[in-house]
Amino acid sequence: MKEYKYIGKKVPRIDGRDKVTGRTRYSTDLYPEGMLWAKVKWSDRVHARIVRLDVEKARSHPGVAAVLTHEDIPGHNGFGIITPNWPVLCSDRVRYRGDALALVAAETEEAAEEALALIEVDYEDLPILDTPEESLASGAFAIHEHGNVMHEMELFKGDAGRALEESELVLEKTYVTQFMEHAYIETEGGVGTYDEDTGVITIWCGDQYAFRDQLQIARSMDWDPLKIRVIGSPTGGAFGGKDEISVQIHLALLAVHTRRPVRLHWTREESIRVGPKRHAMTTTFRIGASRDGTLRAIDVNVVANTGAYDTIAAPVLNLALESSPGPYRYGDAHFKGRAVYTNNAMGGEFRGFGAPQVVFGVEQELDRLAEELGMDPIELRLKNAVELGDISALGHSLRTSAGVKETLEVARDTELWRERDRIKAELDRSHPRRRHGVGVASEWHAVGLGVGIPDFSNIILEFDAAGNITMRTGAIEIGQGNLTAYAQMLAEALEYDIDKIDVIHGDTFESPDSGTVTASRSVLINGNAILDAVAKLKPILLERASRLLEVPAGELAYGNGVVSCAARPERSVSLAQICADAVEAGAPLKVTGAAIMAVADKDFGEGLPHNYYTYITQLALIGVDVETGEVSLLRGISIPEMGRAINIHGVEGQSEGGLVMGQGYTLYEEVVVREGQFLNTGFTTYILPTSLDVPEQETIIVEKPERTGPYGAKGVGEAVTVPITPAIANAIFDAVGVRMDSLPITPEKVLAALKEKR
Amino acid sequence: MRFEYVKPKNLAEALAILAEREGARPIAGGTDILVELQEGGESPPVLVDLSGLEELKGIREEEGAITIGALATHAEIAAHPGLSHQARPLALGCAEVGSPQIRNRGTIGGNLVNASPAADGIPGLLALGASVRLASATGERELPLEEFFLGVKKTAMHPGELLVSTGFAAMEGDEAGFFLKLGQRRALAIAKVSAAGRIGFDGSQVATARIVLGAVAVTALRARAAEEYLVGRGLNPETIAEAGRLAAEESRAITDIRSQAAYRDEMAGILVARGLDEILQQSCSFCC
Amino acid sequence: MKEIEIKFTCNGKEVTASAPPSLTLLKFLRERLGLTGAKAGCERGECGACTVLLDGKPVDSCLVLAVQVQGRRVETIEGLAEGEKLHPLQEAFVAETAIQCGYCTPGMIMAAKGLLEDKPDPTPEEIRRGLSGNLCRCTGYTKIFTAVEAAAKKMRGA
Repeated sequence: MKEYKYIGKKVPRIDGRDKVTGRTRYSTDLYPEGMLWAKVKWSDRVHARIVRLDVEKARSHPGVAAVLTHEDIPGHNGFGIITPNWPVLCSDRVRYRGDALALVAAETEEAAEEALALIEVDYEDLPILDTPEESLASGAFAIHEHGNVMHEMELFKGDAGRALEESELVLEKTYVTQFMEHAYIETEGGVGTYDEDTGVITIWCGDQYAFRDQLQIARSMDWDPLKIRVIGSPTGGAFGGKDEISVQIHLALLAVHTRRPVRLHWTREESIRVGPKRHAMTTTFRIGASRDGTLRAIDVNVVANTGAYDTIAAPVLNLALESSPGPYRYGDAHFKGRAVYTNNAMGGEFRGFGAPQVVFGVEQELDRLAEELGMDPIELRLKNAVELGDISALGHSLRTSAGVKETLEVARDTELWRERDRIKAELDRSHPRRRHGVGVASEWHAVGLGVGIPDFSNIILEFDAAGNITMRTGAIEIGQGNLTAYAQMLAEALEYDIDKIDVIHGDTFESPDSGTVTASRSVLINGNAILDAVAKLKPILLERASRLLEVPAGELAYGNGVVSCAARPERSVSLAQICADAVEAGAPLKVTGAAIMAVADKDFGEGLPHNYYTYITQLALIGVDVETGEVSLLRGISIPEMGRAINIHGVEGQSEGGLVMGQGYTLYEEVVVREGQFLNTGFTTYILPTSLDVPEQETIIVEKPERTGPYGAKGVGEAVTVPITPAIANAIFDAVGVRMDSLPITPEKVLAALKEKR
Repeated sequence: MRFEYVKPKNLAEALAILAEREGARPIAGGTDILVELQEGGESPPVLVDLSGLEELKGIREEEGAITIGALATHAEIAAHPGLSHQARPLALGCAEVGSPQIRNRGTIGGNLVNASPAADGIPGLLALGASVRLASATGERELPLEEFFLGVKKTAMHPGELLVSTGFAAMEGDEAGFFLKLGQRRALAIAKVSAAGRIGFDGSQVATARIVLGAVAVTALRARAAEEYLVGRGLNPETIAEAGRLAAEESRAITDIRSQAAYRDEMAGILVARGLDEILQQSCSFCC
Repeated sequence: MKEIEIKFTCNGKEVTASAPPSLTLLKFLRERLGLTGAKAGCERGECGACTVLLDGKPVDSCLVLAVQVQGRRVETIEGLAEGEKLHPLQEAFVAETAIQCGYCTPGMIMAAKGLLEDKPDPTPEEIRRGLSGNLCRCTGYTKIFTAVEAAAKKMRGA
């Protein structure tokens, strides 16, 4: 493997200093002069017609500058990444407890809260549909005019039904997963301003895609999108929860109406109740195999509880189906999924995007299969693992790097796996009330938005007289460290000092559209745009140097910040000198780069399938307290194959954080909604792992460079949070012989399962 | 939230304010009351800050009697070298409250007065046999802790009264104590179940036993059947298991967002057994 | 509501200001003093993003009233560095990449400072316990533990 100066190194984050000194200003840290405090009037009911909405008393309350309702929306009263049917402000009906009815802006936070209490609403209750089963029952009340099925997808490869009938062994099981909350430490919020002179609306808001926000705001405001500036960076955590509109349109409405800066910051309670959640899903697997361990056929049926509106739920369901076979070969397959409306929590985008739900099940099925066949769990997976050139279980060609085998081999070679019997026995002896177990699971995770969905990036490089580079990217820093990775890739490609690179990011007026930061795409697509920019830059440098040196461009070469002539070494000019010369001539050096994500060779519709995958294996060492049912995750090992690691600490950090997010999903977290009422909207009752709960961790990076990725890189942000869930479940089975088929795996459930076993 | 704020210089001043201003509420560490008010609880007309009252401060031992001022924080109690032996169930309980930040502010007085069924400081104090000293503008009174708790967040305090201190007989050399808590995670957790114990030995036999269950009833609960069973017996795996079983039967837990009733009842027994087992393992001189 | 005058020390400097009784220290720092390092993550004392030091001890500033810091010593993240010279904890967090989105970082560092002042040579378990009131959703805590250990070592002069 080639040695690089920056690629694959532990380069400190370029935003680190500001973050440790408190200098970083997030959107929710802004308190502009003359600002108004905004609050949202949320629905008091779960599902109801709005019979009367009276804001007059609120409007005339002292200190109140404005109270807005749906009547004040100039454009389309709806938003949604795919289908904009999520109301900005409800007019005739509310469909879940997070629906917005009115906006208040006042001189003080107190006055705004008082005004909220003065808003009068009369409702006429409608039936509450809590589960997909209720929504799908015949005669069920229609949540939307088009019925209660939000989205359906079905895929066929060969004849799974017949293949299952002919299989020597068939396993069938159903798994149930819960709604999960993003729980970023920074809740949704920001500031909106309106400049009457320029007609520009400016929104600062924690975000994942400022440019799409621009369009969604424009659609609702009936405004020229180019007169909407969205600044989305930096963001205090997103994990998929800030790709959709949250406060942006509300801020725009209030700013334009009042002509004053407006600040809106959701409380934790609002954030949990209102924003999109990881879908609750029920998945049934039927897997057929031969006695020698060869997987033959898979049938997957997914029902997703999608809540009241569409947002991005269709692609989530699609990716659930794509992820469900796992990184293995199947000759025949059938996938079916439905996303069903309910009046429950809003199902939407969340790191993992449908994979965590199904992988929880399918990777336990593989372990069950291994047990039936008397095979080692890793050997079974190795036997069926995909490789570059295979046809996937969906039927498309795997044309990009595929290292799941390597990750499994590394897992098999870890001391934890090789010595697991000894390690477990030692721990059992030293902790007599616990039984210990080791579990393994693998996953393939799609990178990119999928075929048919625009997936691109643009980058601008600007050079000043001293040779400093300003890189402009629309990408937003949500914590994953992408800006540092971009600086590394640029510094490497240009053989230049990374300290001379500054990144301007996530501002629709100051940076080009680089697409969204989601789908683990950021390094891959932006890296390629950077390389494209550098590829365009080099001939320009040679041409300029040629004029300055009076040497034909063909005799010149660029390297390490210098253009020189091989034949006459004294004829050289630095990049900085070329830049200075350009500035003096009145035409500073500037270059753009672009990239488009390569797509798969099949098109199943709506983003299916993908062309790039992260492959990953994770191991879990757990202890089960057999008297209390408590499961402790003691050690976690992540073995991701992401092509190439651009920043070692960056990949480890994603791994370590992703694993703990998965731990939370597996053992502690659940958004509890009954009859549409949210029962746990605070951190007292929505349980995240604390520093005392998290495991010892190790990350072993497997590199399998992808030819079409920048320096061979793909992406890693989501895969790292997925297989730890079934790895923990498999470890529980290893420890105490019970299969947990629903999440979260609480002590109560484990104890009940242990008793049933006896 | 909206209230006035006063900070009296001494107890008499504080009591006078509480007597005069109807609805006035005391604040010390603020970790309970401010959460209550942030969640939409009705604002009192005035908050009376107790943190300047010297009369409520201090941890003292005098001739085997320990007095802990109401303003002692959970952190102070948990770190106090004397209390770790002489008041073990309380010291361990206070160490389990919330988080370091909460423990630096939250006081034992606040924990008592808030009277949450799941409070971490209360089972230990009940096991220690504590009483509380209450003061009002018209005088002072002492109340055994057993009589102090009336229900969920309900105490026997009269309007205008302040909790000044709590006191109990220090644990002696032939006594052992425990406090165990089961939460949804290992920090920032409200107890699903907790158990505290103060066990006195006469040679290898249990002479006195006070065992308290937390979070399984509207107030912390004495597991009297388990206590009575143990008195006169030695601690061994069989007696411990039986004491646990009895405690589980006495537990009256409910099902809520954190856990289920049957599970909690069973865990009450498990925690009692584990607490007794800890004592058994630690003090060989007590066991048979 | 009438405001109450308060005098206290903030990051080593005397501050004279006024605050309404119901304003929390967190909001006071952010809205009145412009010190936005401490964050409002939950306003219930459940996440630690608002952690500051009060007389050297980590507290959730969302559960302290501004008027309660009269005559006391408050330290926030903004006071940690000496000009451009970072505190060892800040250096370690950068060097170990114990930061991702950074929103929990000010509170986390202040909690760590409080921990190390109380226990300059903490065991791994003590570090975990000292940070158990600070939630982080990005890092999984692993690099935070490493950073605190490294800072502790440097601060001990070891």
